[in-house]
Amino acid sequence: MRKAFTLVETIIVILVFGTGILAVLYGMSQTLSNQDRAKTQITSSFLAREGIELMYNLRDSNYRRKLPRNCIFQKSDTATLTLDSQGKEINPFCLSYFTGDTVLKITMGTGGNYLSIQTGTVTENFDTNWENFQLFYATGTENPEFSYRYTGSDSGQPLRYARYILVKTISEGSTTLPADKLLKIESHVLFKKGALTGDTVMESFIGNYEIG
Amino acid sequence: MIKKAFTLAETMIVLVIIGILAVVLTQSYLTISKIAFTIEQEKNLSEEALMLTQMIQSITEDATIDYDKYQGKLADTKGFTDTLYLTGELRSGTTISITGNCLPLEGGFQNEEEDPADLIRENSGCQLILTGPNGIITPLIASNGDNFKRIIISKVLFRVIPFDSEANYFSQELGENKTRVNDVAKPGFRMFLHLYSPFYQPIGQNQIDQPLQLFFNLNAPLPNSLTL
Repeated sequence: MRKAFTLVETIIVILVFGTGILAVLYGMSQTLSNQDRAKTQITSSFLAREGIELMYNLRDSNYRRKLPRNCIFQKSDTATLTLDSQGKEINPFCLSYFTGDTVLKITMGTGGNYLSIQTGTVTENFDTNWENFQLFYATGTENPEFSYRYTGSDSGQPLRYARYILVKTISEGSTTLPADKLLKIESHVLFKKGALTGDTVMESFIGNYEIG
Repeated sequence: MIKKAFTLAETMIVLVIIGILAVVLTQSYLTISKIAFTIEQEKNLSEEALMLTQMIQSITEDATIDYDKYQGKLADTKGFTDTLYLTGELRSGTTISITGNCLPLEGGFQNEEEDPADLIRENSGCQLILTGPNGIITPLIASNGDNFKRIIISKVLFRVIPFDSEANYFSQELGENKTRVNDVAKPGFRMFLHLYSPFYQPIGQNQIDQPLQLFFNLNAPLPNSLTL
């Protein structure tokens, strides 16, 4: 008489089939996740690059204002100017200066301040950094920008990106280069969508023009 | 000895198992194919975005804003404009603008039932063009129906800073409270653009798109040497 499959054999066969099917499903879910991650990283690399370009603009704009390269310039539309003998603006708009190990939020402003710059603090905690530096998509046809939520406004669609610029001094051995000569800048873009989190970092340097 | 054949129940069980496996494998194959297609489309969009970035970067290296063309209206629009007027030693009379029938900057296309071929046809005239000093038009990026790189572009918006040239700024008369609305700064511009694949992303039925927000510094008279 022919022996039938035992329970153990049946379970083994089911396990083999089940493992195969699970492996396929896991592979599919990983592929989907990687695809989403790749797309997010492409956009975040563009945003990181924009951060670097904005820092170069800040450095060059300060030169044109005859202000120190690391001036954090703040000027309202109705601010009173103080001009030097050549009619150039002088210091009162440098509310502060960034040196080494400074964290900046930099974007294009909504008013007469062409670049909006604020200092911030970075922590080791991703969620805290996310809260502090998240970008929003401004609503309205005239202002379709990825930017920080404007002060006093709750408009804007939250994005899956956050950005901050880290300014660092440079050391050569035990010597630290003067902060007013050369600084390292790192543009960090964090991304977060559901369980998917990560960051993109782009690095560059800003030197200083000699102010004549 | 007569060999015992499979019973009907055994045969049915085998068939059911084979059927289940076939369905799972077919579904897996289809899903993976769709994901691969989506990745290919996204790769196309990112390639186009990178090429556009590099082309505009090379233009900006020897150009600056032609403020005379804006006649002081940039302050009214907070710097937003749909046409970028450039000037400079080699770029005098250069413009970058959009032409043709283009999708809006926001929203993109909404009709998932629409045939991608029709969508391409409807938007095929949409181009971001560079008009040179001699009037020669060069498309920088365009909606196209190439078999391998099907893309659709949205309208393009620029935001220029500062709103006025340095010369105009210092020529303004100061009021009693010494205020000037505008500011001296190095010229630059932000560019907003959306690139779309005409196909819907099969998983989740979303558009396959690549939003672009880029900032470019424009060359302006600055010292040649840095103090290091």
